[in-house]
Amino acid sequence: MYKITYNYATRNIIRTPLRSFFTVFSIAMIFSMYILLTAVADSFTGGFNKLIKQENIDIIIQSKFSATPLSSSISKEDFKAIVSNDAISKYIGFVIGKKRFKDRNITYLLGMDNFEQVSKKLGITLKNGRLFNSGTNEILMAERLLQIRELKIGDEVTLSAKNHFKIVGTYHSWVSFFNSSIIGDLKQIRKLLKRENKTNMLFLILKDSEKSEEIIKEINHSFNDLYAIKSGDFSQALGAMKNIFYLSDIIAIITLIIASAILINTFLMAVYQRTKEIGILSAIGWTRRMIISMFITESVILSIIGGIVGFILSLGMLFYLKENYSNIGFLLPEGLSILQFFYTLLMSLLIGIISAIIPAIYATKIAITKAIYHE
Amino acid sequence: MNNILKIDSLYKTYEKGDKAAINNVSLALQEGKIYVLMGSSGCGKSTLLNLIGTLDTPDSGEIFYKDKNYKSFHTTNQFRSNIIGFVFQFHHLIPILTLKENIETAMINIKQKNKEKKAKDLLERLGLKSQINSLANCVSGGERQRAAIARALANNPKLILADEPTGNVDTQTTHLILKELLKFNKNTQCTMLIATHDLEVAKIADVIFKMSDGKIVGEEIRNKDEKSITI
Repeated sequence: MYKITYNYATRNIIRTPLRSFFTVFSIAMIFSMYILLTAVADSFTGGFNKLIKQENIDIIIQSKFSATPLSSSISKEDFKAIVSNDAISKYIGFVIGKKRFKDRNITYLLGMDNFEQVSKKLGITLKNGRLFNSGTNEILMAERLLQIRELKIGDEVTLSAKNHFKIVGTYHSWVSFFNSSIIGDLKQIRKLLKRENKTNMLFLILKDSEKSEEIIKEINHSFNDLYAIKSGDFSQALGAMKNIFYLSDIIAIITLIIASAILINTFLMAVYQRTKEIGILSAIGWTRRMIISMFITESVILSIIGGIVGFILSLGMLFYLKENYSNIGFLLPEGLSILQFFYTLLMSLLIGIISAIIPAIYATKIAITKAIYHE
Repeated sequence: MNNILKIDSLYKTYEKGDKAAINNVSLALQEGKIYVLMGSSGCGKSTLLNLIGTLDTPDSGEIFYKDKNYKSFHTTNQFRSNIIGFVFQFHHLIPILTLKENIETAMINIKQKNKEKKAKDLLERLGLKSQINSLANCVSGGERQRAAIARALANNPKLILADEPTGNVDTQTTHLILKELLKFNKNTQCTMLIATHDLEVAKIADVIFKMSDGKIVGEEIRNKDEKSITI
């Protein structure tokens, strides 16, 4: 019966073209929002988590009550005391700050120690030009940011009234946050951000990773203002920022519920309009399972088309946002993966099935004699 | 001959009705015979067919198919798809399916390859060869009714229940439909119960039941020689 069920389902889609179009359109819009939201959240936290895991960073330190890494502050004295521990093999100190250009677009300034040594560990690759020299007003600009701001290597950018910085190279990173940033010498960026003697975050790589618990206890005990955690759970270090991503997860779930509600509404209407046909099919022996599978087939076709169109729309929206809104560029992923495409298909399939069940069960409850004579 | 169907003291009252639609009906149908139910509109012919076809349930009384009480059926869908062939008064085809697909909807337990062959064969026999792939809402009323007959015959039913099968067709189509029903009856020994006003249909009956106010008020047994339509 699969062929006849499929034929019936597809003809029903064609029978009401306008309704089918708007159902697919609504689902596509909702799915594109869902895909963008989850991709942004995954890109931001996932990039950092991948970085930490890959490069074997063992401990992350930031100040105890900072809502985000941007508001974290580690004093010079504490910094020196921590890195003097013999158990530490390498460390990466960061200064991070926000800077607004004249056109009000935002970039993130990163000051780093020993950039040449740590760049690979941060997933940063020099694309053009050279690295900046320590103690100079030279900077590296993310390739994407350079393109958006229509700058080139050798240009000077004014990051404050008295501070002009020269672009000496461009870089690219698979951590999307870095692709909307400017990287410079730690001291110069500190001066620019007026954070002399302060560091936002400190990443530690231990000689023996097994000792991470012990070192964490030691740091948390010795430095009352600081909070050290294992890198494996970096989302904690994101502080309040992670709540934004929880919120994005909630919005993503709500969008899926809305998609289901649209489909349920479409099929409740369809059941009403097709009451007579459902009655005929029951009269000639179709079982409840067959009638339900007919509705599910139709619903799955609509939701999968909606999912695919939604995926294509989200790719377009992603491209548009990256080209036109550089200030949120750090939040956006490089692109969407084939895995995300299959995940979208899976979600479409599930929504299609779930949404058709209630109307289909309702359809099978109608008395056959009433259904047959329904006009 | 064995009874294929036996009805015992059947009652059916509709919620808003103040009198019984079916009032103490008892009858027996023998295998291979053609029965015709005659009576005025609203006398209970369609209700009786619906009850026999398990489309509705009686308030009281019992129906037996080959000594098996309907009440013992776990589900009625299988009974309808394997045993019953329905012909409705207004064809009741699915408008967005082709005539061939409409026939296939009734062939639930048949393989797809055999379904297509059988559907084509049935439609050809009923003079619908050129309309096999036409959508049901794109053919004439007579063609639709012939397709509905083909659908009723599709699952080789043991019992055909037809409600005014010639109610909305011309004389030529009436003869074609009756001829095909007679031929099917002769070849398969299938029992038929036909509700009709049409005296032409009554001519193919072995037994005519007369209904009035939900009751069987008369029974006329006809001789084979009286069948005026020949195959």
